[in-house]
Amino acid sequence: MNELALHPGLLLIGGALVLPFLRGHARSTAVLALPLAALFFLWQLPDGTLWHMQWLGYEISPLAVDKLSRLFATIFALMACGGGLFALGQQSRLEIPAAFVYAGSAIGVALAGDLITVFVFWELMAVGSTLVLWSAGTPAAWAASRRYVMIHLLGGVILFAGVTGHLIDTGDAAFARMAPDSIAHWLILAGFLINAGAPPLSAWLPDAYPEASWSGTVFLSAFTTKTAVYVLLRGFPGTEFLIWIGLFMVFYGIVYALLENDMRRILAYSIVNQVGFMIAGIGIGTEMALNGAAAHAFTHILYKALLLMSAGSVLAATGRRKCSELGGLFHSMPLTTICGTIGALAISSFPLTSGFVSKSMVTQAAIDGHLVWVWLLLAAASAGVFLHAGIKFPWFVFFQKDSGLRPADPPASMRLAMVVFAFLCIALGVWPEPLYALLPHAVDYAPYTAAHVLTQLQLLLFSGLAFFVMLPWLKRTPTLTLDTDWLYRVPLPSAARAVKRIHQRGQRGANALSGAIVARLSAGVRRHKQADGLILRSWPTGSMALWVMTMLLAWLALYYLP
Amino acid sequence: MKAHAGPPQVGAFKENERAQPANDRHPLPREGGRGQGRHWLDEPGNVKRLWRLFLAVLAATVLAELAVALHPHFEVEALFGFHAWFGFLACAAMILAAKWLGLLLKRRDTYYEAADDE
Repeated sequence: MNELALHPGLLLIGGALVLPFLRGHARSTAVLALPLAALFFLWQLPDGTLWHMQWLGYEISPLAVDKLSRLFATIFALMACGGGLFALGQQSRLEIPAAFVYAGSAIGVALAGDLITVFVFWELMAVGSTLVLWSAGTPAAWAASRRYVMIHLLGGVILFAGVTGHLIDTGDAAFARMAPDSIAHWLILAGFLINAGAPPLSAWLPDAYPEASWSGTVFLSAFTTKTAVYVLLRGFPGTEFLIWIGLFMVFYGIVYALLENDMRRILAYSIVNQVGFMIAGIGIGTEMALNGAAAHAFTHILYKALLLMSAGSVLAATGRRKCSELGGLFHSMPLTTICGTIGALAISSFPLTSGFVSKSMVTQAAIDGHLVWVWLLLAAASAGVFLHAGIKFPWFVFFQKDSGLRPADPPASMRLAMVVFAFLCIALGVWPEPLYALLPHAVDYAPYTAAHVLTQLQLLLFSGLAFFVMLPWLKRTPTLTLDTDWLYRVPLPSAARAVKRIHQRGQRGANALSGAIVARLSAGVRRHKQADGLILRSWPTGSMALWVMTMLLAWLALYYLP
Repeated sequence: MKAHAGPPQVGAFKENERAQPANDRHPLPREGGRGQGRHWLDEPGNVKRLWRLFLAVLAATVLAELAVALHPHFEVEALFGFHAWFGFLACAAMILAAKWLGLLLKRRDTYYEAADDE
């Protein structure tokens, strides 16, 4: 350790361990102050590698700061604060501490200068997020958390194998740019992509996140996938096939969200969709694209949290989560409706919202690189985002038919969290310069040109028209849509049960056979060796003496015989 | 200090605060009637007006192309109203794709409950 610098991630994790012992005002104050303190200390840190250590002969640097890591650590700390404010009234005493361990380890990944530290915080993140999921306390959440932790431990093992291979190949633990040119690097990439929600294992995300509590999903939406975006930005920028993975995720998210009935699962699919834009940007790999991916991760955390806060408010107030059972809530929840709609506009990249100034940098990078197909698909996907998240979510939850529900807007702490995040979504859209100043590369981009605003409005408004024209096709049904998690929820368990049955049957047969053999053997042993068996039968002492005397007499007689 | 002093429960909902079909502040709209509990969005006339406004804005965004230089980057983008019809058709295609996929993959939302219990 060269300098006495405080690690903001460890501060948050340490604070999380103290939180369960606090009550009342002290707890509320600590929940808000801890992430802000982490943010403060983060901004006190100078650029460069601040902590050096030796571990197993490797040079590791658990605290290293540059523009990219500062950007992600900043938004993670902000998110922990906003999420903590929203969750202040949460009955579960486990959730906020778990969420702070989760957020602190996400900051730890962002500030890690070497792959070993990345891996340690990566696993700690899996622990924290699983605990957030558990703290919902429902059987569905428990079952989902087991599937969730299974996938993330698998991802962790793959990442660990990759990191180990990298250490053996290069002898250097530093986390620098890599290329998928060796098995080790492919494994690292695969481990990163699993957390990003990339195919084929993307189903863990929409399976698990909607099962958390009304506040838990807000935390869950922010850290895991965006940490994966961060490590991909640092480790694999310009890896071309990531463009196609990203585009697949974009359309996968839209189509599944269109089919979905659960309001929070719609938003979970749209996380995969939005992360797809970022991964496509990382694949394009120019400075503009990487800036776009980083900026989009920043704005996405804010508007996705806002959307899930509005959905969480609805869930907390009504206990319902299916679109088919909701509707007409704008009557009695005006603030939630407005905040949810602002989030929906921001995710759709509507002009004057944060999404407009960030996503369009990725699109611009596709234009600059003359990638006409990528650009066309990104434009189609932008229209699709408005369709599935921008209109569908607010329409079915707050408007459409009147469900007759008249819940009130949520309590003050939740309202305040929503208003602050809605303000940030609009403020960054109107005044993007502070965000642009934080980006890893110098920004030479003006989002607000007449042509850009007009074409974006055409794209979005006509996709809105398509939504209302085709509304009968989008009617909500009480259904779910099978995804790859089906494989490990239905056929794999039944295969395991079949193997168990065969094993049990074989075991019974073997038991019967070996039982017969053992019985026969033991009968033989008993015949010979039991108390009155041939060998162990006892003899009277008198007959022994008689036989001894008989033998002595025989010997005597034989001796004197001539 | 009492165990539950302070406002930690500010965000907590009490059971009786949960959604009720209607309450005094927000009564349900009466069938066909105006007045209390009826939002201006509940009036069919207003919805029709909103639709007209929406269509007018749509037309305006397309016609504005005549006044604004768009600097198309690709050939296809230079077609008139490209973003408008491309956005509409892309959405229609995605809705159809979802519909088709739904035929294959949709299940009752109780589908997994039996599997998860085991």
